[in-house]
Amino acid sequence: MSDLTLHPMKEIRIIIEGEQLKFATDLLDKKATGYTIIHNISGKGHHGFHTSHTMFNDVDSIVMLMTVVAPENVEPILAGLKPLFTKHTGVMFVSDVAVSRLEYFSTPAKDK
Amino acid sequence: MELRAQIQLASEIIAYYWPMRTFVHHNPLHGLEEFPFDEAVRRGQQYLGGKGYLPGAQFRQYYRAGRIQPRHLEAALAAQVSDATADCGGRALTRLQVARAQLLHDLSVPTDDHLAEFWQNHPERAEISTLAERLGAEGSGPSEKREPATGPTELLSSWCDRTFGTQLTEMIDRELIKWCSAFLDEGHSTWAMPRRDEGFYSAWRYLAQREWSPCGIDHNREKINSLSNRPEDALLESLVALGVAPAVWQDYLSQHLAALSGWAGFIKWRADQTEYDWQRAYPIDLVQYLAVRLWYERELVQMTWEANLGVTGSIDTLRAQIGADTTANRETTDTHATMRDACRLIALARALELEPASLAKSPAETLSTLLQWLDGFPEAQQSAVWLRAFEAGYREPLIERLLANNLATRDFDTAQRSEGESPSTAKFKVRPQAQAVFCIDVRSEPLRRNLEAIGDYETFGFAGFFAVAIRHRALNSEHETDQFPVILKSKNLVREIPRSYQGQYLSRLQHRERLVEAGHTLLYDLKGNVITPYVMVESLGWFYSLPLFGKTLFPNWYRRATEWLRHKLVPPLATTLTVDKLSREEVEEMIAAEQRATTRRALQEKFGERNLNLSLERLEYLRCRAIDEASAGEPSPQARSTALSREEEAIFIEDLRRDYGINQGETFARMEWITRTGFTLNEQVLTVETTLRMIGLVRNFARLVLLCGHGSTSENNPFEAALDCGACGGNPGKPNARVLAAMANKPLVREQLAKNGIVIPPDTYFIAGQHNTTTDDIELFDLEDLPPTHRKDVVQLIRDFARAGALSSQERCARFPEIGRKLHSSKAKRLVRRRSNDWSQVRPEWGLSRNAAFIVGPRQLSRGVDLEGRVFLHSYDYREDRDGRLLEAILSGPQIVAQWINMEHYFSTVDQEVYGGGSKIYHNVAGRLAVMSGPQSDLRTGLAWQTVMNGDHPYHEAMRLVTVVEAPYRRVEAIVERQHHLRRLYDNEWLHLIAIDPEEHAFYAYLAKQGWQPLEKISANGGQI
Repeated sequence: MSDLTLHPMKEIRIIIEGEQLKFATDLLDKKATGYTIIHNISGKGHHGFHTSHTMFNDVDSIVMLMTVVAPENVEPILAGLKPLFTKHTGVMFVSDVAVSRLEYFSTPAKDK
Repeated sequence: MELRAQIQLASEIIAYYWPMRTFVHHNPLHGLEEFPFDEAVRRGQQYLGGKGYLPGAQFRQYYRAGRIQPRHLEAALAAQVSDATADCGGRALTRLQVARAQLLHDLSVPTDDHLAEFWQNHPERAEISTLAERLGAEGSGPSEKREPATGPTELLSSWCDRTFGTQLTEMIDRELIKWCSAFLDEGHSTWAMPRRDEGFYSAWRYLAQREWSPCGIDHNREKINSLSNRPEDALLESLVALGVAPAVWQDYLSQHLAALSGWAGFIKWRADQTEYDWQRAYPIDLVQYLAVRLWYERELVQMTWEANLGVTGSIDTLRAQIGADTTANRETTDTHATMRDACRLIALARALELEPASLAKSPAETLSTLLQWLDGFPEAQQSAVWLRAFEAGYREPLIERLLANNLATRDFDTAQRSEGESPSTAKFKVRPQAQAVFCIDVRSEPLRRNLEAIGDYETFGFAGFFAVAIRHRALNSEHETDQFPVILKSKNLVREIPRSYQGQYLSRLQHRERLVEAGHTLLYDLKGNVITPYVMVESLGWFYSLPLFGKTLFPNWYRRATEWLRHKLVPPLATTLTVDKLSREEVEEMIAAEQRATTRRALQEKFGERNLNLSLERLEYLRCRAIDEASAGEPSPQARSTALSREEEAIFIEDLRRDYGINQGETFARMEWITRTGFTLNEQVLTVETTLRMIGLVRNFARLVLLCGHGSTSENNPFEAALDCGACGGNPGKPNARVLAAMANKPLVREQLAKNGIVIPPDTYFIAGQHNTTTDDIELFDLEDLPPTHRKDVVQLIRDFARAGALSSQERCARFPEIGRKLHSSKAKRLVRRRSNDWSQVRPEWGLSRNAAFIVGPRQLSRGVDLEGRVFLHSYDYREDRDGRLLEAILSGPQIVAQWINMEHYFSTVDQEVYGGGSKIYHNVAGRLAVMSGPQSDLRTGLAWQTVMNGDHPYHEAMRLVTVVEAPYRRVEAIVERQHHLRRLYDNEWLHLIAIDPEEHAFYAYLAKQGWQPLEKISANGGQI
């Protein structure tokens, strides 16, 4: 444990409608080295309560994306997503985190 | 990055378009469902130019024919128009009277261009002139107060077309159609577009540079060459060059996408399909499409400015020109406005049976008030009122019939039922002759009704994918089909494989099938070649006369003959499906066995003349070495061989890896492929249990339970998939029915189900079938597995189905306009088969036209009621669903599929040109993915004229779907409350919802943004249900 070095990074959590997932992952494909998707989440927001998924519909659900990026990549990701929230339900959070394997999260973004 | 988000939002105005080989019924305004229906159709009109309602004349025709009842119209009108009066020549007029006159009489006045001609031919032109003069002098008309309608920002190309009489928009559209049809082609064209693998934008850049002055654009080589490699940058550059402000980018791009909404809709869909083979090979997205489109606009607009204004293109110059143009036209517009107002007032007076002179006597304020009332109830609002009355005219009788049926045949009183007895089984005290589960599709209803009338059959409705969301690969097919609604994601893969005893025939048949396929390809290539057609006409032309005359003159005979021939050449194999998921160990062993057999074959091919050691150990050692050299270790004594030298063995291992596919990558890929296949036992139990509980079939099982999917057959019909099962993603439902039947027959599944409270008797057998909706024939599958004890049951079932099918055909024939009467059932049967086989038939069946309602409840609710093939029927027993989760699944899954189908029919009917598909007569298949009208057009994404129209009149009644649910309304209320997307659909009136509460013995309607109201209360208040 003694030689463990932690590097500061930014964690972004994005909660959006299932229909917007492809757009968000396309964006993260360009600016992040990876992400985690949690499908079918529930919760309450400005539009009332959103239940988790139903058996026969994978589109009208709410999903959460989590990613960790270098601080300089936060701005382009937020700028890319911001217009979406002018019309659609969803939120984004940015928080400070630390990672041990810096190279794992900060490999230069690969444009498609 | 932000630009991509802007495009994402801009594209919401256009809907996905799926390739038509799996036609998916969809709502063309799906992206606008966040708005109330009336607002969404207004936006649809603004951007796409599509009408959102039937024309007033059509509604008036329905009114005269009694289809729209005066009481429904009055109720809809009262909700829309406020109470006010005005004195007109001594007679008090109410606003309601004026609005009613607007609805019942055509008070419309032509546009400015035709106004003078209209006035010249008007019998009361003197009165109109006098009144117009008075309106002009007194300023009574509200014209000057009217604000110009605020619409989207006009495209600069459209502005040029309007101002300078150019045809820039058409030129741009033609260019984009040319490039899109070449790039998106899916094997239809003989010569493929080069460099498609680099993506649409790059391929266009490469080729467009080599064109000779496209659309008159000079120096195109240099201009295109100087564009950025990134489509985002090129698009941005064009937007900046055109001077489009960032604040209106989204709006501006929406209009560009809406210009060819069919092509753009297909690109939007394709760009989101990461697994789609064509997209992986030849990528395209809306950014690339817009980058190309706006480049043409930018160049053409600047050329037009230079030619007409003598300037090199600046938005400021354009703005100055727009201002001058508006001022010059204002005076003419005012004159036209007073004339039009006078025409409208005279028409109103006639409609209200007032003498035109009484208008002259009316004070200026009255005229002003009347004009304001006329303006305050524009055509769009009138149409909305008509639509509500039209819908009430269907809904009310439907509810009354359901109510009467239930009072006559069924008692809601729970006390009369024994404990645990469900409403669906209440009628059957003994086991029914057989039970049949059909798709919810409206075309199942007549067949179910007729079958129930013939024998003691119990029928159920369930979305035709039967809760089995599979990707299916048919025998000898290279592609998988998605057998589930498009709102679901794929879960499991199922393959069709030959039955074990057919193994010996397989290779022979595959060989023959390849020969037939090669023959087809050869003919196709010969037809497509530059030279060979000249020779072909002479040598093989006669051959084509056989199908030509056969298909035209004797379609039934020709179909039978070709099927016979095909069966002779390639007899069908008995197949089964890979329903069970194999364990990892089983898969590993399976692959190892295959690879050992391949290794043995490879050894024999290469060193067959030597004395080889072909022992199991030796083969296994070589296989392991080919896969992973390091872990193979030293060979055991049995695995050693002296037939090959050390060097020869090393070369052989390389050959195995390279030529025979025995390597690590292939092994992993094959593992992945096989382990995706099938369902685990738990998944199978869950699937069967969900299906049975949802439809309320949990006890009193018959000896035979038929799971019946549906498909269709038609000739020369690009829209064939639109007639297949929507719940199976536009495919026939056969694989889903087979999978569920196989699961439900498994002893292990039944054992588990019994533990969960569903005891299926050992003598109950599930059998899969498919209803051909074009011919009303039924085909049963996997009869090889049928126990001998059930042979007679199946024979009886086949007999009864044939009879029920003939009765359904009889009903359907009476609805075809060229028949229009009830035929003898055998003749009807012959005719529907002929329609199915006739390659000149543009309407093989009516499909889902006239769909109007979605009923969720036990069959007892509607059994015996003739619903005319207009209702989606989903079985549901609220007693089996204490927490409402099953109902929630029905409302958020199958109901949405039904709503998409309903909306596709609605919009295709109200505007054939924009939302519909146009006449099939002019259709040409484009790129194997859609149809165009004529040689070049936007993709025609909607339903064809012949599907929804009968001559010039709509066959489909354009109404929004009404869902009727039998369940305690509190339970339905809770679901609507917690499901945001459902609440939005009901509140925005994309759907109507009615709950029949069996415990309260009451009907409730969900009113948009008002919540639940008892139907008696609504009716008593003069409202509509």
